[in-house]
Amino acid sequence: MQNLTNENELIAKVLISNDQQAFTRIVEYYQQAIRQYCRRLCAPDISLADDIAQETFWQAYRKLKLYSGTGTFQGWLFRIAYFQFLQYLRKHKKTQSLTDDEGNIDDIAVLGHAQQVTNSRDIEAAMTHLKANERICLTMQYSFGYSQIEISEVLSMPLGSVKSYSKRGKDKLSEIFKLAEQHSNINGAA
Amino acid sequence: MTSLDDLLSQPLAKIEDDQFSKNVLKRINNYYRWRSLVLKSVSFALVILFLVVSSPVILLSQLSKVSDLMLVTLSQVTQLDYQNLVSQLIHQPSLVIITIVSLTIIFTRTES
Repeated sequence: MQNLTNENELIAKVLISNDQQAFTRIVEYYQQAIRQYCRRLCAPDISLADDIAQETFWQAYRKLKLYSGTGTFQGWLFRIAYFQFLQYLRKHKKTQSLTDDEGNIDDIAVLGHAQQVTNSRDIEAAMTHLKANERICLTMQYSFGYSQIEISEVLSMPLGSVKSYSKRGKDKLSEIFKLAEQHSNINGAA
Repeated sequence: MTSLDDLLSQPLAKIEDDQFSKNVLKRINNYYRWRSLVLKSVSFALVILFLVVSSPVILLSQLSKVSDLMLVTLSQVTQLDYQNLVSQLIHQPSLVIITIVSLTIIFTRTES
């Protein structure tokens, strides 16, 4: 993705003269990244993801004066989206979907997920079976190129947790793909 | 076989804007429209409350006092003691309410 060349100028226009055209340009530029991020965060609920993305831009507009300029604007939007998602989970009492407290992989659950991941390369389907924090750490790291330190700063999460979520997510995905492959081999032989 | 790292690094599916940006802008505009409407309603309610609480006779007498005060101010600008003028104004609750309501109306009109 090319950089928005006059990003600071656009932000200044919104702050100084409440220029909605300038903000529209910011939304148009970042909408794809934020919606992709939210879709991973809320997978597989696309409608919720778009609601969170819209709320993210609305909050960004309201709190633009709080953007300090340290770190990227995209990172700041990711942070808002993540906290909007947390707020949604708290409101709907779904915080258990955020982390895996047990810390180990349930083989039966993984087998069930693997049967749904028919194509061994279907990363999107496999992702839906991870916990939200695992998905988002992996997505920020691999799809958006953030380092684990940057992820911990953006999400206000200890670095150890980021490392742990990434590792656990990758372990689960490996397991799911391995089982999916075995599953498809058995089906192919039959 | 593709490694897991390669799979994870695959570019994410493109998402078309499809009215998303317009909807965000619409939401911002709706917020300002509602805020303006609420402020106008509050101002209107304050004016009605004021009219109900103070009878028209009192209101007219207060308005005549204001005009007298303004005449005095205009005719005696050089001798005017501003502190006295301000204290006179403050000691008139009706004038204070009129000022607040006027300022609220002016503020909401300017914002809209």
